[in-house]
Amino acid sequence: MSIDPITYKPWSGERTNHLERVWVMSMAFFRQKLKSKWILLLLIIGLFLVNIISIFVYILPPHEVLDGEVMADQMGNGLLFIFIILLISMICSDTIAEDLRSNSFVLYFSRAMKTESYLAGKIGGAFLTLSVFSFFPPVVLAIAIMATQSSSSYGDSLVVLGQTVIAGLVITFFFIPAGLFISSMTKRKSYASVGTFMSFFILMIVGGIFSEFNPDWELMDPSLLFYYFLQAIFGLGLPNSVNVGLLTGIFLTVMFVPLILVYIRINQKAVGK
Amino acid sequence: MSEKRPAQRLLTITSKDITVRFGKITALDKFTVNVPSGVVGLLGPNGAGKSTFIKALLGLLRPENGKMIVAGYDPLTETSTVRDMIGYMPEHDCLIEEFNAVDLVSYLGQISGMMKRDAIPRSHEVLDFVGIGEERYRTISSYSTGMKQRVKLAQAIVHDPAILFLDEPTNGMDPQGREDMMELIRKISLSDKTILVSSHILDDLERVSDHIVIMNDGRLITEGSIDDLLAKKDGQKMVKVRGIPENMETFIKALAEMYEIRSVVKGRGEISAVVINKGPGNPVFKLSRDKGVQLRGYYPERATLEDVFIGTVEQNLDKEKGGGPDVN
Ligand SMILES: Nc1ncnc2c1ncn2[C@@H]1O[C@H](COP(=O)(O)OP(=O)(O)O)[C@@H](O)[C@H]1O
Ligand SMILES: [Mg+2]
Repeated sequence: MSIDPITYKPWSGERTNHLERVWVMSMAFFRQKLKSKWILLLLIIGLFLVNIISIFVYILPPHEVLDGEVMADQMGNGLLFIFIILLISMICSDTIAEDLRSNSFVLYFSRAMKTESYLAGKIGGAFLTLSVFSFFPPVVLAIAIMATQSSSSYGDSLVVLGQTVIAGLVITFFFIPAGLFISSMTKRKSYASVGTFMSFFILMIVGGIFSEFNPDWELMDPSLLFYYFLQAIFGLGLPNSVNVGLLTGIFLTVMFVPLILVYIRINQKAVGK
Repeated sequence: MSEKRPAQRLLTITSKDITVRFGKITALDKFTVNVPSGVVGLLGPNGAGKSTFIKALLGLLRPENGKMIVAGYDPLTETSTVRDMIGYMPEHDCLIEEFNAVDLVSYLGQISGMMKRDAIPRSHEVLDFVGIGEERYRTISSYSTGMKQRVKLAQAIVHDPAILFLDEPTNGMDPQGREDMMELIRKISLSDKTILVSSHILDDLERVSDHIVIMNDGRLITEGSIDDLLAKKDGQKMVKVRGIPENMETFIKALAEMYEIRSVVKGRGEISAVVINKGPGNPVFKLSRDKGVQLRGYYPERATLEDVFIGTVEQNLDKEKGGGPDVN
């Protein structure tokens, strides 16, 4: 070390706009998650288990077009659902819990970052991470099926590809708000993680038990919400027993109400501390 | 005082009648102050409202009433503009512990709007500056309190903001660390910034501040340039004598008849007294010879901010009681 004292040097350069900073947050989140060996392991196992069979069942055998039913089956697969829940529990658990524990909120909010930008950054990061499992693989699979189809008319296949993209976006996003909400309720990421996983599990059981008395209760079961959503988006129709209004209501509630709650919670915790 | 350039004058901070309450506690009570550019020390005991004031200026707290202007902007309505100009070093732990220092500082630089290609070299530069060496590649969870304080400072200056709010920057540091921290602040101040440094430690602020704001119970006690505040103690002299205890006693008694005595400290075979003597020192020298004591020291007692603080708090208390002594 030299004796020569280091002087303070000013810096002058361009600043990015506020939207780009949200992207920075999401990418940093994404990279951080991929460094976690447990998440990486889960991603790899999940990708392998969910997709390996599809290659033999859907791509290799001769097929005429890309069929919506095939994609609905693939994405409504119980195994895929379980891995989404596991990944959400792991990915979202420390997103907010950790900032709460270390009080690092203040590093964001003393900068030109609003609560909604902060949330968008976190959601973006969780989305990017989960999309490695639940968005890109189905889309790649759909493209691969299309590429190997025997029919030369691609119109119908393209429609299904579009449906796959939308379905992929929705199933990837769907549980992130709930995961973030649970994470914002505790300072312990292990609680958040187990809490998230258990919540889904309990909802599935409750839905299963009470649907004996009234079929509407089955909509409590998140895996069924998923299944019906996919049936609908691929235009396959829903069973008559399903109350479509209620389904839509619960679906939107699961996606958006936790967001509002997290927003309130962060404002309460971060601002004024 | 040197003339201030217009660009500098813009960096002032003013608050008028700011009131912030937490339930029954009034953290800021119609707090009114004008903070010039340069290094401004915000001094007050714990619970005085220093951190609350800084948070209000950042737009993190919404005061019940009053108005604040930071560099010409209102932090409540032009929050993003204000915050992009500010670097903030919070009082308490806030670092994301699983990051290493380079990643964290460059990440936060980017959150402040730096591009990645600027943020990475700049974060190395500021970590060099604050004195974090190779440890910068270790995760922050392994850092000592002093190192964390340095990283907190680094993240506040990474984007080279025009205004810095440093809330108790020497918190939890050892004496050497505190000195280093104040020296870093002094170096930063050479680049024309407004730096608001809060502390309850008087020594720390005395060394670096151009201007001091003293507050207590959410109210302004006094403010002014360091020189003005310290000048109030003019005429105080430290007198140190040695000798036989009886002689020293009579010396002090006689001294008290000639001058106003502020304090007397009795040590082993030695007595130190602080007296007010604006005139020459000869009568004191003569008195010591007459009373048979050895005069070991006679020199102006440098006023410290502590004196100023205690003095002004007492004056205010007296004023509140209604019948205080005359204040010169
Ligand atoms: N979030 C809070 N909730 C309740 N009281 C608070 C909160 N923040 C500060 N206070 C109170 O407001 C007063 C001023 O606090 P603060 O600004 O932190 O003082 P300082 O920084 O000068 O030590 C104190 O009495 C403190 O207890
Ligand atoms: Mg404080």
